[in-house]
Amino acid sequence: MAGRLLGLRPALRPGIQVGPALMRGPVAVHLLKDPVTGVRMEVGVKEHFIIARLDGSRSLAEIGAEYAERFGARLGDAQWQQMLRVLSVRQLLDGGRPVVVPPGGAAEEPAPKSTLLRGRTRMVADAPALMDRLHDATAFARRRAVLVPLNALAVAMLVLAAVFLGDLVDQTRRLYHQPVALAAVGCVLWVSLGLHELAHGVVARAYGLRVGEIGLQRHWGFMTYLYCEVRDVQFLGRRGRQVAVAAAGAVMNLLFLAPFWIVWALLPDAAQAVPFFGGLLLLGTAMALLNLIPLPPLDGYKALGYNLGTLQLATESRTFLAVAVRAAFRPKAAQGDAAAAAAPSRSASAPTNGGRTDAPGRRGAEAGAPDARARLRAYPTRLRVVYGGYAACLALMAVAALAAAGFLACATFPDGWSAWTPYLPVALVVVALLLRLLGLRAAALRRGPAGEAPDSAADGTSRAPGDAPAASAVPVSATARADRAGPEAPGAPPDGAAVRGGHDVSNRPAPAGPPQERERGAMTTQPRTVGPAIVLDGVSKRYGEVRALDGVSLTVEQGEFFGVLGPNGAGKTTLVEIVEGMRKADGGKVAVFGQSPWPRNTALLRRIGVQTQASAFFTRLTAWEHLETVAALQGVDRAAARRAMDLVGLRDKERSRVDDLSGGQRQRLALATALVHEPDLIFMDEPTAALDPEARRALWAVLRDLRGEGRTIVYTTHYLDEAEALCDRVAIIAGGKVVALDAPGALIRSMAAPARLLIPAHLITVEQARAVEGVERVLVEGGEVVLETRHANKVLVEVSSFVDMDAIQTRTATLEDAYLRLTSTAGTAGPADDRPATTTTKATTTKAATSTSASTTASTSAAVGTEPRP
Amino acid sequence: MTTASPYSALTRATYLASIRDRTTVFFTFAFPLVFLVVFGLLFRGQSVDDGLPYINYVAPGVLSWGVGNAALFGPAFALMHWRRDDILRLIWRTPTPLPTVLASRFVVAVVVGLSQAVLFTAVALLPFFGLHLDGSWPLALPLLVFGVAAFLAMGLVVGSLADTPEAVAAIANCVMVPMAFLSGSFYPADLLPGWIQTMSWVLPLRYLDHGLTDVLAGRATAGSLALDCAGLAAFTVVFGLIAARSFRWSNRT
Repeated sequence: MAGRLLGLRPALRPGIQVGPALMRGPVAVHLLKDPVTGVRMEVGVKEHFIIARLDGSRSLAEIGAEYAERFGARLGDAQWQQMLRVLSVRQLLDGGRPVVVPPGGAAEEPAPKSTLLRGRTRMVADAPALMDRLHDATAFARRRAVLVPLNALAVAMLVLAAVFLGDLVDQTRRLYHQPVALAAVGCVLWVSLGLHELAHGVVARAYGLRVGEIGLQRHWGFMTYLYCEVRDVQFLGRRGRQVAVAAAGAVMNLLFLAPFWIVWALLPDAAQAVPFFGGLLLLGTAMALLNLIPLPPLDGYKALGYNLGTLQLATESRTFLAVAVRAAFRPKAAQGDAAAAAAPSRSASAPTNGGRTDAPGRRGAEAGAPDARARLRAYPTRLRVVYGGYAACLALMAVAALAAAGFLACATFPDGWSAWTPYLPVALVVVALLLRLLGLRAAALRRGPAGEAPDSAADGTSRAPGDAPAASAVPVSATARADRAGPEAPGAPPDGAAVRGGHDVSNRPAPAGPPQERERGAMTTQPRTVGPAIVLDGVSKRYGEVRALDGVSLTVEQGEFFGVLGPNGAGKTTLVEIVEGMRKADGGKVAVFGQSPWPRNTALLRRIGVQTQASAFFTRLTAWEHLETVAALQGVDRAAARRAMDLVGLRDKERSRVDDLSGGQRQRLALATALVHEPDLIFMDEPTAALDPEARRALWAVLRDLRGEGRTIVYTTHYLDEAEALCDRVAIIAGGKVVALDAPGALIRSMAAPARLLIPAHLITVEQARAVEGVERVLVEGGEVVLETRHANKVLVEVSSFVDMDAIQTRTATLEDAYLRLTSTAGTAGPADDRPATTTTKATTTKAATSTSASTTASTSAAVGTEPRP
Repeated sequence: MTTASPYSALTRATYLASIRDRTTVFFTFAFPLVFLVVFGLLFRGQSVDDGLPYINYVAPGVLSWGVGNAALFGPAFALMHWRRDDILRLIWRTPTPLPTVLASRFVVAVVVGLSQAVLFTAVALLPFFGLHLDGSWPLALPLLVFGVAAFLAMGLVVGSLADTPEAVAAIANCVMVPMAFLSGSFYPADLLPGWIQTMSWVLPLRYLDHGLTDVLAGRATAGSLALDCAGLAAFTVVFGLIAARSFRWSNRT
């Protein structure tokens, strides 16, 4: 086995691009790109060492030997296997199989939500095609003889601007008194910005890169700028080219000004257009130079990053700074085991486990605090200079910017406005930083006890819970950030991060045993106060001519699970509203826990929880915020909200906005809303309506638990199987009256509906079936002969003499049958109720359609046993 | 874990719902500024007979209109939505009393109004617009609070009457737009015909506008300011009573 494995000569799929070494934090990484699927990966130096040698000519044994020589460690079988598995999962190996492109195209990152104020608008339908055309059109310029003079021209214009700076400033000042001309300058510069983006694209295209998209980016509603998406600049082998792509825009801006310089030079001093051209030249040059400032979204930052060969220079610089500060002030935060933390080479004796050998600094930040000094030592001297230098450079720029803003404030505000005008910008920045700090703190608090460490917020990158498990299962992380959730040490179980998020209702244990059993078991409950929970006596309610309720009398005992069934418009909602005290009954008596609910009885409302169908949630809040608010309104603490959230299993969705929840999730949140103050009496209006079967069963378990705690539950449902399985008693309401009220089993029996035996038609003829004693009716339904009988056992024994028992299906009457009869047939039914049932045929037809699934679940195989019939 | 008070919880919920509606936030603040720019450009460098520049009339006028607009529209829409989405029913089922709900709404409206005022004044102070702020400007604060209260009460009436967003917008605009013109929000009220000037004192915006103009010009006396505040308070009471009469917990009655 081992020999066979090491004899393999795998090859990388042709076309896979492997980038040069880049620094991320203190370690080197390589970028990998699959041009077919568009997937990008980041691998450590050691993985890169292996991947670079997978050319099909070398065997794994040979590569292993080279590896051992280079890194001083041997690769075991297990590591090779894992390595190969990962490569094959990532479709990096040339296996002759077709490459599967993930749905939706992994190349495109999910577009951030676009709003009126913020977002992107694509301007060019087919940007790559446009780039191709431009590429052809600019072919003449791609020669040294053209490029050198052009760049020289750009430099010359910078010199010109410096020489004539005084004039230009003066003219720009004049420009500010001509609003129209100023607006015109703005328009021209905007065009220049557009060309700037195209220049990036053209240069990138010339080096063979793909241009993704050209569009308009909006910020804060009024700031708009064009952008041109160029990907994979890092894959360009030479840093000079990378910098050229980044700098092309600024050069373009300068070149754009060339004709204006000529006009400006030719204009007489007194010409009216002088301020326009002067301002244009100054502002245009400033714009080009501003773009070269090394701040994150700007070209200068990109160019600097390419030049230094670093990834995310700003973020890493900040991380480094934090480590350095900690090392200086709190060198021994924990019992520092310097050697272990500091030696990346040791922690990664094998590439497959060490994976990202790197980032001890980052991991340390999460794992607690290993020795800060050790983490600092992990940075090579050159990187310390780079990161530290960048941070210092930024600090200087910040000081300069604040000083400039101070001067500007002095110049803008009227003299003597205030003595502290120069410090206004500083004060504003301090206030903004404080607010941001408070916001971050609040956000961290809001995440609740289950929330993650606040560093992801401070870090500027979001961590999607979904991608953590996927990434941690394999050592080569697909994204830069996934590695943080990855295994901490070699050999650590890879699924550590997968545990989170497993908080769905469907993960709850399914109810043990058949529903009926559980139900009987749960009967041992103690009412909290004496007397029935609800007593209705002859309650009626009218809306104009419509009699919504017509003399309803019923009693719900404490601890009872009480079902209310009825067609739409039967008065169910009115009934519930009268019991909770939202409406006043026209006649009759209502008592809830012995008190009258009308008018608004807050003492009583404290004991009642209502889950509505409408799912009323506070607008634009997250699920957790909503529940927190409701808890506060109810006067209970956050722990209660937490319990309710956990009870309905919505924890993994609690940070979603209520508007973004799915139907089932809304349903569960509505349930949590009803339960947050732990009421004794719970009303539910079709709590399982939008749930899938699994979630429905899970919710049943929740409902049974609630009932097990002694709560009284009154609920309406369309699912008759549910009522049959859960309810102690069921009231069927039609036309504002209670037409039946009994335990579900008793209701079914009292119907005396016949049982149905289903036998495949080829086993029995209709004549044979009719001849069997006790059969009332014989029907043929879809290839089966149906025998209706009230003496199922007797008939079964007789039929089994000539038909194999296993072939017979018995279908006993369900609550649905009882329900359909009671709500559809006038006068004939209602054995449990002496009042005549009203006709509500129209409404019932819809019911029948919704509950077809219920009846099929009730059919059981005859071999298992049939229910004895009277 | 502590128990948050219903008042602070509702305030927070209202606040979060307000700031997360980015578009509305933007226009709440940008709309008055647009008017400031338009009228600032129109009347730039001109003065009224009494020697004050136009901006000293236009700025408080537009500001009072903007504050009133926000204090009316926001609560009106929210009340309509809360009733339509059964959030009011949800609150009804809790022991939280209605005044708590209104108080939280009022606090958020005041905060919005004051932020509007700060931003607007800061922009108007720019040399381009040339507003001069008198040292007695803190007197404007109670005026703004009373103004917000009056328009909030009107918003509650509108929100109780209207059942759809379209109806809210229609009624509120119908109230606000004529009032803005008749109260002289966009130009000095002194330029209006005399009878309109007299009539305009039945409009709450007139009191707010008048008070703010006086304060910014530094000619406010405690007496006149108290009268303006009293006028606004009277409107608050009247509309508050109407709102209490027309308030509904639910659309289904």
